[in-house]
Amino acid sequence: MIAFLKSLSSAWTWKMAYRDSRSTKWKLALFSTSIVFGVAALVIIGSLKNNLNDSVRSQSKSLLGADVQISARQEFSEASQELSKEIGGEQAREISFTTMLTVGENPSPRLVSIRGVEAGFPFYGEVATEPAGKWDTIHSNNGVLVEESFLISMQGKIGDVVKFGNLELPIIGTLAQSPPSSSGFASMTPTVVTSFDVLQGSDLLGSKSLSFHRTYFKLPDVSDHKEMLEQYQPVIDAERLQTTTATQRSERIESTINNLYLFLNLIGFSSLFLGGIGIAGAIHIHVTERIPSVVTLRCLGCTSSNAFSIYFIQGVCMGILGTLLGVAFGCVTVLIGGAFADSLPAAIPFEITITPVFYEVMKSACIGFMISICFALLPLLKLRNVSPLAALRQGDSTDGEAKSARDLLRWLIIFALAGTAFLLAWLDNAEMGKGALTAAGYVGFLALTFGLLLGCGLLLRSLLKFCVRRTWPFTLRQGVSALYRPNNQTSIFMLSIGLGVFFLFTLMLMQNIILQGLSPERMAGRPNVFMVDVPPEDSARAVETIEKSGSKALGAAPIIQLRLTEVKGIPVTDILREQSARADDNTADASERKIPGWVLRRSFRSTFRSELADTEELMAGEWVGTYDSSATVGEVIPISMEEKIAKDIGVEIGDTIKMEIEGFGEEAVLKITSLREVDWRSMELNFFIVLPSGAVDDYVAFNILTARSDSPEDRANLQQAMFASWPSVSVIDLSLILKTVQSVLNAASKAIQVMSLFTLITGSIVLISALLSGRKIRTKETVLLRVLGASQGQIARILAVEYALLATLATVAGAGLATIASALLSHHLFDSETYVFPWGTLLFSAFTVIFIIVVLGMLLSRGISKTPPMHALKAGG
Amino acid sequence: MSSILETTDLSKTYPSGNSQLTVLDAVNIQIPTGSTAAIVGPSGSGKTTLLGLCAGLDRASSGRVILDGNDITSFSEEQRSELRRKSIGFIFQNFQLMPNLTAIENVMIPAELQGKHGAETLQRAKDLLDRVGLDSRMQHYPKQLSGGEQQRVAIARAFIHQPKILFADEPTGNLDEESSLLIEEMLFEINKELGTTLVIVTHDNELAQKTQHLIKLKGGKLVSV
Repeated sequence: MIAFLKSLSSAWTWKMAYRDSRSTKWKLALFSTSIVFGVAALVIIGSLKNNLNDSVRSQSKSLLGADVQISARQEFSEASQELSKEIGGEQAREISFTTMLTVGENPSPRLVSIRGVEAGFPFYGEVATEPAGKWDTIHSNNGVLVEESFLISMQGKIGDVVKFGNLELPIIGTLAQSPPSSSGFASMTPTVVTSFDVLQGSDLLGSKSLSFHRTYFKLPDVSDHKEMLEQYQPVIDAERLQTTTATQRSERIESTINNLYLFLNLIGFSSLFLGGIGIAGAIHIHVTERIPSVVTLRCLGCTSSNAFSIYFIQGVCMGILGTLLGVAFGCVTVLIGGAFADSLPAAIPFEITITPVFYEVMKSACIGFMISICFALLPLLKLRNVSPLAALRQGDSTDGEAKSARDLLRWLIIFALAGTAFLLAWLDNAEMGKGALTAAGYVGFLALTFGLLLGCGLLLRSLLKFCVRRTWPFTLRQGVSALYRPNNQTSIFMLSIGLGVFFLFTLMLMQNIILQGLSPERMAGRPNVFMVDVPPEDSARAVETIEKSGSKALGAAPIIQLRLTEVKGIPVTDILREQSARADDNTADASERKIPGWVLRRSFRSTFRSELADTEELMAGEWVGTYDSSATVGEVIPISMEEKIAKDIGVEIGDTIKMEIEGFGEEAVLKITSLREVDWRSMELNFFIVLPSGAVDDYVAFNILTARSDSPEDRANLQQAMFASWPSVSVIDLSLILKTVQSVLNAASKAIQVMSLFTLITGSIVLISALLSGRKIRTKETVLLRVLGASQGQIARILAVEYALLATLATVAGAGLATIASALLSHHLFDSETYVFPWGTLLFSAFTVIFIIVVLGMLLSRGISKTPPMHALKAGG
Repeated sequence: MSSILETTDLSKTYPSGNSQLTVLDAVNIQIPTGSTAAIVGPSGSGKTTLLGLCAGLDRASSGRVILDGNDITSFSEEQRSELRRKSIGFIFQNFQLMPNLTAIENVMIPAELQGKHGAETLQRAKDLLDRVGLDSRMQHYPKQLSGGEQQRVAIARAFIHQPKILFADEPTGNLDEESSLLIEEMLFEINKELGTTLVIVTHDNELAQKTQHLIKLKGGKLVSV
């Protein structure tokens, strides 16, 4: 080590490193770019995460618009109102629900989320509008503010009148930014904002099955809002209220950002590791070519440390160059992104300043440099064992190749690489325990993916070699044998192409899995329009309206709204109190099962029917379809429960629960007699709880009707007809939902696509480096074939076969792994048994990748087939 | 006259399956300082092995090598590197020039390895290249030079640090007759001028006859001195 450090401090070593690199400086510079995109990806992802989190933290109160928010899914009870009084501070109320709405002269209504807010809200931050300053005027002018994109899609303009229910209000402006809320980034429906009083005074509220009631609090004197709310926990639990503090709101957003960051960072890491492998491969070839020089130096008295240092310095310079270029590219990309920050979608509820973050830049630079050095060291190690005796005896240059598996230093570097990846991923996570798990996941993923790709490559190569027959054409056999050429870097090819294909294909298949469930082909004959809140007494007339408008009425489901009050004899309020106490008690057994709060608080919209639906399968117990109508509520009613929610509640067949029938002030005792599996992806009317016909027929809150409309015109007619007769009925058009899902998926996948593209570009650079590195060996082989009489055409065919085989094997390995990964995710995550793989798209994409690689390979091999044999032989081939 | 190189029962064996293959068997030689010697023998007789052991490029299985008063058989690899750096010069059959360095840079390496980077070294390298007739090819890379020219660069490199002993492994083996004669002349002239001991491994009888000491090997054994 001391000798190595001494060598590094010698000016001669640096001079020799420079001299030696002169003839290959451009090649070395190209090799160093292998890590550029990996480093840039880390700079971009890290800076964006920090920018977003900083924005969220600094605007946490503006995000909620208040210090605390209390919400309920029904009108606030007296106890809830008392609670608000007790909490005190400045308060503002809000009502929100979905409704059909028309704009101006456009007769087609659209489903929107309408929010009615009281003056004073938001207490923190401002809501930007166009024209400016219109937010406060909704209270005085009784107008509405709408999203600009919605207004454009409805072909409306400011000043037009919107109609919903019995209300007609003028549009006074558009929302340049989403008003503060406790929900996520974006809603499936456009947002329309008006004043609280307008909605409160309308007749819509009474006919709405689902409305949200919120109260916002400004409590500047309270330092810990969460602690303040804890003293009211019994009332909050008893009244089934939801609470959100400004800190919780920002933490939720930060958590979403961090989850996305972890995933994107994994792709960035993969890209960097792939680049590192590219550097290792390039240095391996470079050093192999330089071994005669090292032998000479050793003969002339150069120590092994000195010789090693010369090439180590070159590796360090490559690492520095690649890192600097990566940092520069990353920073420029972030700055360009920052210039467009103002044009981010209005759905992002906070202002963002996008700029490179010094800490992230330095961290990415350190990671990039360390990884490139570790990877460069692996092939350099063999220089320590170069024997000067090789000057006398050809082909005896190193005595270290066979010992590499036993080389302690080699293993130390491999562990250092894994350790570096682990530590960096670990330190990146604020929670040490979770961080260790994430870090282990990173290292495991990298090791597994890289290992599997290499394993697949080796397997496919062996299979190919096994299949080759003497009867095959010479060019084909020669192309296959080229895969086994020494220093051909076949494994590097497999990794660089395979990893890029794996990421892109997985992304493509995952999107396909999600969208396939909603595709029109799959939906053929199934309902694609849902009408919610149809008054029970108007069901028959609504069916007639559907048929008259050109659509086909498919079904109706009476909805009973139920809320849990007792589980196996224990009141829900007791369960909530006990769970809350257990959460505070650090000594409590953490493994003890907890019923999710949302299950205990939610309103179960259930139905009754005598038959199982097509989308359900009985998993246990006995289906009870009818119930003696003479029985009265209060007696035990048999029900069927969806198996996963039963597991959440902790009930099995034979257990009883008590539920309140909302809107009627009565309770029903229900006994679980069967458990069902439900295909939630079917987009049909599915329910957690199904009661038998005859049990609660008189307690219907509203009906949901389903219909099938085969053309956009039919759907528009249906919406208009329903809106004309029942303005409060929400008509949900699945094709619009599908479009929204598609646009959300497209937006979410853009970031992943960009990162995958970085991996693919890195793969291409590694590929080009590998092709250029192997050019000398290919030329030598080609020259020999030319000497033996091979034509230029034959040489070109051999090269084409070699590249086609490399590309095919790598693409098959990458696409194969992507298919397996997607099949597993489809089965376990999306619970899909009927997913059909898009084989056509897959094959087309695979052939495109193979074609591009063959073309690239042939372009980079230009001239090889024309090299005059004598010229190459004279040059020492 | 004192000897600069002396071997005592020098042997080299390699494991071959379960047995040992002896390629050099108890060789004893003495080469006086400033003299010239040739190691000759048929292929596989152990010539190159003997050269490698004497020059400290390889380790002996048994016996001793005393070079310039040092028992190099007990030297570590680093100590042998230092000895090569300071006291030994080499000329190889395949020239062994560094392809990425110009002719003058190649010549300067041994001196630079000793920390001599200054103008004096540069001037000496220029003088030596001038001496071997390559004053106009100093900035050329090896691939731009003919085989004979490359070997002349190698000769200049071998003498730049004024080694006490020069080992030449088939120095004319890859050259035509005319170039060979030129190289031979240069080797002996510089040897005389600088008083460097010259040890040549060769198949060429004419070249061998020009040296003062003839070391004949056969089957790894010394036949005559």
